[in-house]
Amino acid sequence: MKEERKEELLDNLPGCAIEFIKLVIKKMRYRKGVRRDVQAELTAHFEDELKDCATAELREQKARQIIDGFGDAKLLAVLLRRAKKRCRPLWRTITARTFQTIGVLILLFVLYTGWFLTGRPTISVDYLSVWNQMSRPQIKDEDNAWPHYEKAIALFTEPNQELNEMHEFTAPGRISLGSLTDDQQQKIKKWVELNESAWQEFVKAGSKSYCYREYRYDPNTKDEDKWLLNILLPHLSAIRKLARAGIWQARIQMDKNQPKQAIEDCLAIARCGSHWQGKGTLVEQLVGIAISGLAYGEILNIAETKDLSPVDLKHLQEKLLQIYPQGYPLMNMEGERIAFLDVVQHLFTKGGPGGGHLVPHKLTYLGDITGSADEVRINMVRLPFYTAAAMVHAGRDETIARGNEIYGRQAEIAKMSPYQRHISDPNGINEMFSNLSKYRYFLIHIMMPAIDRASEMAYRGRASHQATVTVLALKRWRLEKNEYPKNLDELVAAGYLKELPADPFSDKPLVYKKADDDFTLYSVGPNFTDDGGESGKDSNGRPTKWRDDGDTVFWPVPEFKQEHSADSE
Amino acid sequence: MKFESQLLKGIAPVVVLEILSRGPMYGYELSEAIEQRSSDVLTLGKGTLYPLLYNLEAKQLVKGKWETSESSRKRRYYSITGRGKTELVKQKAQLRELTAGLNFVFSGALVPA
Repeated sequence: MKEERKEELLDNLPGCAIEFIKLVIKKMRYRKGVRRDVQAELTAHFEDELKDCATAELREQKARQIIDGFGDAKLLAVLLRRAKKRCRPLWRTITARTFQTIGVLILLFVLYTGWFLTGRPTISVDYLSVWNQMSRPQIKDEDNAWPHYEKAIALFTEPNQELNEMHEFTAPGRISLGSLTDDQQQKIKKWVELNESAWQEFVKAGSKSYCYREYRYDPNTKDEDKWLLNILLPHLSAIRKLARAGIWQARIQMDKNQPKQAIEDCLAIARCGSHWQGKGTLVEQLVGIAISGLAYGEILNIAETKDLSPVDLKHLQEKLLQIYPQGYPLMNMEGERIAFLDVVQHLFTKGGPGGGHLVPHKLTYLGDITGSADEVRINMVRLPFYTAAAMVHAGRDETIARGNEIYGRQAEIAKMSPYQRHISDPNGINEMFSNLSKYRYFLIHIMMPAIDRASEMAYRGRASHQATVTVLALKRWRLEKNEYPKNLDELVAAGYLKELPADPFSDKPLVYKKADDDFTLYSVGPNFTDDGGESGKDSNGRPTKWRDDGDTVFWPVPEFKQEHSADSE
Repeated sequence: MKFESQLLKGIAPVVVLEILSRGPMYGYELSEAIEQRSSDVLTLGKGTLYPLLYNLEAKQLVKGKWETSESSRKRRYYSITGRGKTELVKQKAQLRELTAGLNFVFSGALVPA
């Protein structure tokens, strides 16, 4: 065929004819085989028309006439191409159209990807100010506990390695100072002594009505890293350690047979816990609950080991009630919602279809906040996957709407006791999540805290607080009336208690059972079943609160390991 | 006489089919035959010829085939298909009706002198 084509081209056609044919074939822009056929046909036509021309001159003239007869080469090429396309079989037409469609889609996709990748977020709201405004109280600065906590943290001496390796120190549980070896006692006392100044500031802070600490970025934070998620809360770790120091402080006082001072130390810890419970972030609230829990546990230990007078018990009871003048606070999700909105404005463009789209390379920033530098490098390699994920993700408006919907539901759930959730909405927020696509709303899945567990913590904290107050009231009753009451209603009727302690896992009062000269006070626990006061146990068989294999027993206090070094009783 | 291109446009296909119904021809041969058999009244422009043939081929009214002539030249011969014959009959019938109608309008003036 190549030889034939050569033959056709060299077939003594005038130059103008060859040029014309070549131009037509070139402009056809079609399959090679088809163009070859058309070229052959046109060449044959010229040959036929020129066969009677004797001289080269005549051939040239005639060729020009033929070319004029054919008309514009480009137009002819277009007409020939159209006509030949109509000749192609259906399967070829479908294949061609399919590839064209795919090509167009690929081109559109490339353009879309380009537009997608060049999007940039617009930071329009200073959510840090919103956070600070949200938690700023309308009180005088001198009532603010934070400056004292700040001083306490500055004065705090960290425990050394020896202490950190001492199990009895790091997980004190129900261990008295007297149960430790002399060497262990010395080390702990020395450390507590070193932190005496810090502790005094801590106690001063506890006397204040509120704690307001302004949220702020580290001074070295770059502008593009100013996300609320980047705000560190290093003070929380120090505050927890100070609270633990306070527990040892109380145990040292108990060892010296000074229960009143030990109680004051515990009250300082309980007040500290309450300061952090009203905060904007979930983690601060949870730390506050945990610190308060330390205090209640230690108070019950003191009540169990020392015979406090009715006056002391009443004083303690009143002080505990004064900690929450407006009632025990439940989980506040507003701060988390604000943080979510801040993340959205850092990750999404603003405007356009759907209100804006997720910016893929910003997801690597998210990894930066949560991961190490190595993880950031790895994350850049994953950029194509982030791009795909970002394209699948819902738009800005929809993400915000769904996020607000979930946070709103979380706020409602936070007001419900675990028992109320159990009977009315057993799947809780989990069902909302399971209905939310993991691909289209993966950001929400990543960002949302486990509110079910978090809000339950607040109810557990409240139960611990009320149980402690109730135990003190019962002990007082016993001392004044020589026996325990038949039921808790008697306490309320006689003014020893303002209200019955609520069990969050039954929505009834905590279970009180009088037994000889003692009593049992317990919650039915997370299994919502009254196990008759049988405590749930950990893997080592030790009674442990809030397990779903038994009740949570507040009284009697599980075995408190002690050897009284100075027992005046 | 030069006819309006729009006037010729509609009848070019039926003229080609009619010529091919008498025997296969290649492109140049066909254009010559149209001129001769219409006594030079009708001419099919070269720029129209091949696109028309390819369109008719796409509609399966004609069929093209390469053949080598006695002089060893390869030519693409076009022949009418069965479908083409049917279409030709239909088109001729329509043209006759058209001619008759026009004759009535012009009161027989369309009949050549």
